[in-house]
Amino acid sequence: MNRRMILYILGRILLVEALLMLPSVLVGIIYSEKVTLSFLLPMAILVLLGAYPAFRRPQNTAIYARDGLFIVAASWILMSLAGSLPFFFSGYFNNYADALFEIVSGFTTTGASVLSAPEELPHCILFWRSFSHWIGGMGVLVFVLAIVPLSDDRSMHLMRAEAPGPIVGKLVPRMRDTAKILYGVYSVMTVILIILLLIGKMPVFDAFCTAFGTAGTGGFGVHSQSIALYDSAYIEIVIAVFMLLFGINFNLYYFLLIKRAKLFFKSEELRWYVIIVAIATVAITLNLTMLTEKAFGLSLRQAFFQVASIISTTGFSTFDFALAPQFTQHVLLLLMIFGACAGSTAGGLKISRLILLLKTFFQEIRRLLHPRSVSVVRLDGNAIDRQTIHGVLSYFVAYIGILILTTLLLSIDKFNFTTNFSAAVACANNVGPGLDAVGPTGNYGGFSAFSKILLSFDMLFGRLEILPMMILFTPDVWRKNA
Amino acid sequence: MRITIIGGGKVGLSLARSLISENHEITLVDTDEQVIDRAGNSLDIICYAGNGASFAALKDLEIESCDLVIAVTGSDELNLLACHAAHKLGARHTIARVRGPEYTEQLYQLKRDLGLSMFINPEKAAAEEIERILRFPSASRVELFARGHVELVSCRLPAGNILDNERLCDLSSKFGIKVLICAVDRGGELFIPGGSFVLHAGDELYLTGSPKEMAEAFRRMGLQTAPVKSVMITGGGAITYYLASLLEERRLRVKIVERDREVASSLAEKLPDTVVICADATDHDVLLEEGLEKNDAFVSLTGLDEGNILSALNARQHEVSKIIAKVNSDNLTKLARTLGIETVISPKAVVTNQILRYVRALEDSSHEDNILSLYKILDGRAEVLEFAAEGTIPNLTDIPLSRLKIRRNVLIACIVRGGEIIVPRGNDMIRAGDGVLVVSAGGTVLNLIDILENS
Repeated sequence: MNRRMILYILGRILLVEALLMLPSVLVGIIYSEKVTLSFLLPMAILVLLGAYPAFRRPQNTAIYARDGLFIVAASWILMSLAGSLPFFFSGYFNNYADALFEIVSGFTTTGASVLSAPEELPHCILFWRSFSHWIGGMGVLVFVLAIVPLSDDRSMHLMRAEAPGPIVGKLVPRMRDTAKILYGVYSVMTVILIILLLIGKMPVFDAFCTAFGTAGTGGFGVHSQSIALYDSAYIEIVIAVFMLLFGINFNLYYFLLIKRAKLFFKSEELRWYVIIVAIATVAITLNLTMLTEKAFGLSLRQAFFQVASIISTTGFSTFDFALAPQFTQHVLLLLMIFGACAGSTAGGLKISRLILLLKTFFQEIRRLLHPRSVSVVRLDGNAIDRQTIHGVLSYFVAYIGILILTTLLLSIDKFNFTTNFSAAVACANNVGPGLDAVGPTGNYGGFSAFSKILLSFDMLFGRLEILPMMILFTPDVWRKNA
Repeated sequence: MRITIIGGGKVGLSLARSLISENHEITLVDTDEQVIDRAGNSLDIICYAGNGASFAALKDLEIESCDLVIAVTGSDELNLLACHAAHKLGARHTIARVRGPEYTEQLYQLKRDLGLSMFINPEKAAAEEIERILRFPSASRVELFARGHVELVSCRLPAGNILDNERLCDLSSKFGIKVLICAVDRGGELFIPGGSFVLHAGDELYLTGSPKEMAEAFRRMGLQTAPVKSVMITGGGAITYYLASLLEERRLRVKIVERDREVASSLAEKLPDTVVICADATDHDVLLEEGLEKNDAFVSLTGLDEGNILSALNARQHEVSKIIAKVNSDNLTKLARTLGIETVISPKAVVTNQILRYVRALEDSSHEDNILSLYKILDGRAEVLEFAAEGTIPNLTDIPLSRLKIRRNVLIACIVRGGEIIVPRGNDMIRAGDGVLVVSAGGTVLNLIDILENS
């Protein structure tokens, strides 16, 4: 591994993080809050640690797949460790584990919180909490790739390690331009959302934070009642639609922009995404109207919002679905696992992986009927090579393994199975709220420090799609001659 | 510029690498998924697995918005078909690599019909470069302009040369040197010299002039270390064939050592004046027996890089004055230089350079269409550009050069009028239809008007 190049990139990431803390400081100054000072020490630490390696460009800038995976995993962990410091110094969090859990939840766009009443926090801390969603949504390294030239030739390894989905491709030949296009689409959509929210008479500060939470499909609210507080059908529909939009592969928006709409509508993943959203919405609406006293209109509104929020793994809520009928809870739990499209800001297993898994399964059945048949799995009409299929299968195995292991380890605490399992699912899929004790009105504060760190790792596993994190636990990588 | 490269072989990849560093957007097409995978991981380009000669693939790649298509697959026919197809679909320029000597003649006629902007033959280009180097054994580099009518040669002025401490304006009258010194590199500093410039030993000189005048100038400068009269070549591949036929034209004594009997006898058939010896070139006794040390130049062109380097080292031990080795691998090229083999030729590099030059000229001329060719010297600090003076240009044509207000650091090196070379003096003038060679250091020159002050 190219240690000096890894240090160089990590140094730059730390500097970029210091830069990203500036908006929060600005918010603190606007609201003239004394807590803003808790940002200064972390920023100083980041600059001191980052500056030296960041300006020593090594001679050999070549990085390979394992360096790429390592850099991504290490930078997310470093960013989380440093990003939690403002929380810790602010004094609003009980201990460091709480602060760490909160920022990991932010960066990984999970939205799971240890706080029972976020509205008690000062504005600058709340802003940093929500802004971390926006940063983590599209990825820090993609951001770094867009603004600072790193290693031009082999940056694909970084992009592939950070971007979600089984198949990662470039939009335009130059990596930097691809990163710029992605961040361009992301920023413009965020701005549009902020404007729409302001039109809906949402307070300015709330509009910004909610937009960040929606864009990154994170789900940190600025109030304990989440979106229910505003009690506005307009705001709910705008947010629901945008949560769904941010769950779509960003490459497709680029294809729309360059007038290749055919590719947009050809996408199998998008088609299934829409179908699943429609079916789940109808099912939950019927379930709510039949088993509760809610009117059809209200049921539809709540069902649509909740389905959009859960499938895009955002985790905003307009009602306490943990108290909803069992069927609704089960459908939502299933949607948590599905997740949205690859190449979006959403988490979860990703619809495209699901499609590939099912197609591989049916192919296997066909092979039983016709043992000598030769067939390929297709997605969007293109044949998918065996390597990719193999990757999807092993990903699924690792994913299930992590869910089981986490549930088992969480059971050491006092909570019941529903809480433990839904907490594992909600964290590993970057959703946020689970069921029962960790439901929309509950929080993760009750877990032990060990469980919080375990769940933090789950969130990182979920956001980075397991492989980059696994490389940190591989002894080979740490050997000198690796 | 948006450039599509079809074929991910050695040349394709080395082209992609060079073009990225000049900030172009590259798409690489190859049928081999493994090649595509590896390229995508190591280069910042889009890789596409598919047949670059098929309409389906080219449409998928949006070839119509592509500025240049370069086809460098292993097959001549595929390259031509790919370029033709790309041209039909609206690609602006196309370059095909065509190796087969049997196609060379007809291509000049078919070029337009096929929609080719340029075709390149790496072996022929390499042979031509070797031939140019052999013509000036003391020169480090030779380039051709104006369809071969003008040469650009660089050489170092050795200590104690007759030109040491002489002014440039005296060269013609005192020494009868009729070529122009258009640029001088003195210890890393670049000069576009005027008449009063004084030469010093150790200067790297860039000279332009007709091939005949150039040979004469080298002779008068006393730089011509005994002209190469006899050449020994090892290996009987395509480069050897092209090189030997070029050398035969110049009536040099050529001896080829080739191991394979059939290849050797077919060479002997095609090259009547050349001595072809069927023997293993790595057997140094055979080379000695054939009079290695009595030859003025030794060129090793076998298919094996390592063998070529070793033969070259062996030749150096026997004090052959000019030694050239063909080395294809980049790593070995560096090694060969450190071992002291001064001239290393790589067909891959020759082709890459040729295409790069074309791309640069294309890029620089995207506004004005009259840059014919462009060549960067001194690590790109200066450029030699060839223009066509199309029609009368106010304030420039038909005015004696002495009365033109030409920009600082710009020099008119040569005027080409109907195949005749004019090394410009004060009372010469540029006429409509002339080819003009301009040397410029600093400041972009995009058309002829640009060479004038305050233009």
